[in-house]
Amino acid sequence: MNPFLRFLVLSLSISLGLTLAIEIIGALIAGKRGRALVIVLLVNVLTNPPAVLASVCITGLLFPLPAVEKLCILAIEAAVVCVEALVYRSWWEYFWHPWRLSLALNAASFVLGTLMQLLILF
Amino acid sequence: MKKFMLIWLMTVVLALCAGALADVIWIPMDSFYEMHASECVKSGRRYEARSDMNIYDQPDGKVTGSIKAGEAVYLYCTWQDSWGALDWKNGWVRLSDLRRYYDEDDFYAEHFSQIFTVEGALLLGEDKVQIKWNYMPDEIKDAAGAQVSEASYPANLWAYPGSNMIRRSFGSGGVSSSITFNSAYVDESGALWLRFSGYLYGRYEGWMYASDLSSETPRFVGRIYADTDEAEREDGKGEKVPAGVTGANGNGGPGGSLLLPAVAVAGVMLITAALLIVMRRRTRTQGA
Repeated sequence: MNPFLRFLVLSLSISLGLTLAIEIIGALIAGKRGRALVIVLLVNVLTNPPAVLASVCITGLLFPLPAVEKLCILAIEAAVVCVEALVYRSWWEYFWHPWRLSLALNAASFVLGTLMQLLILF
Repeated sequence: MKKFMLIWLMTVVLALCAGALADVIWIPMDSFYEMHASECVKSGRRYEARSDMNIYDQPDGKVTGSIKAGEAVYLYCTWQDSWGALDWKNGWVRLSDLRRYYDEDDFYAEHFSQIFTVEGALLLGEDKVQIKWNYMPDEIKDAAGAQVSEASYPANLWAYPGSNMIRRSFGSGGVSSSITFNSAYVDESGALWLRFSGYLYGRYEGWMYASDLSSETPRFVGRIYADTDEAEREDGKGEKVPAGVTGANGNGGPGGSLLLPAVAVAGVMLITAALLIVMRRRTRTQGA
């Protein structure tokens, strides 16, 4: 397989796996069970792959200045939080505080993911 | 809500700081270095063990490990021209046990007057690469006549003209992009080399042989060690320098087609969105 494609497939699968693990554990801690957990899972499958793909494209193709790269990643993260919150809001019977949940789960996922990256780097 | 916003902002700031940490340069973690850091001269260069040799915890200190003959090591710094601190590994070695590899800095020192400032880019297309010039001085026009204007992948970046180490190889793929060159060198046979540096899926830095971008055989027999005048490569291919030690990440660069992953991601999104909509409708029907 082309090295770039292999890198992309690895990035997509590792990122999705980690995000699902972190956000489902987070949702369990927040008291979500049954169908609510399935929704959390599906929402992440909906948002994570395009977010990772967009990040890879931005960091690779835009000759990134570190600051610009970080701003782009923040924008992508913000978009993910919004989309997930909107989906959770449409399931109001399971998610009473969609924005809070989306923010909290994505913050946990972002911070833990960054920490793991640092652990791998060092 | 305000509390959550605050937590979110704090995590983002923390994460950005953590990202910056990843760029921090490694420094030796030993008391000797801490006391003598100002007397050390930065190195960052690659050496080879002349024979089996020891690693010490500090100059003339306790033996903490060993390096086999022929093994390559990087030094973080040298001290009093007699000791060197290993890079990315704590320990000190005797410089007399090492011989330094010839590198791009040596090449620059030796050929300074033959290196010209130029400006241009290598366009990385779907199937082909193409050299585009913005500025070419008169001195290299003859040599540039022999360069390829268009070539197939891969496009290889060598550590320096005459090196036997390919630092990075750009592969084929579906995304068009470009990498830039800023210096040129005409070798003894009149062939043109272009020096590229920049960032594309990681840092790229090295020289391309403009007449045969895909060549995997060293263009000519160059020097291996800094302390010898003669070329020491045995067969012209010079496997003595272990490939992949310096920045030879073999990254295919933009060479990967984004079409396939983009279609796959779009497919996953559509299926997931459809599942969510069906689930939502069923829940509403059950509720009613």
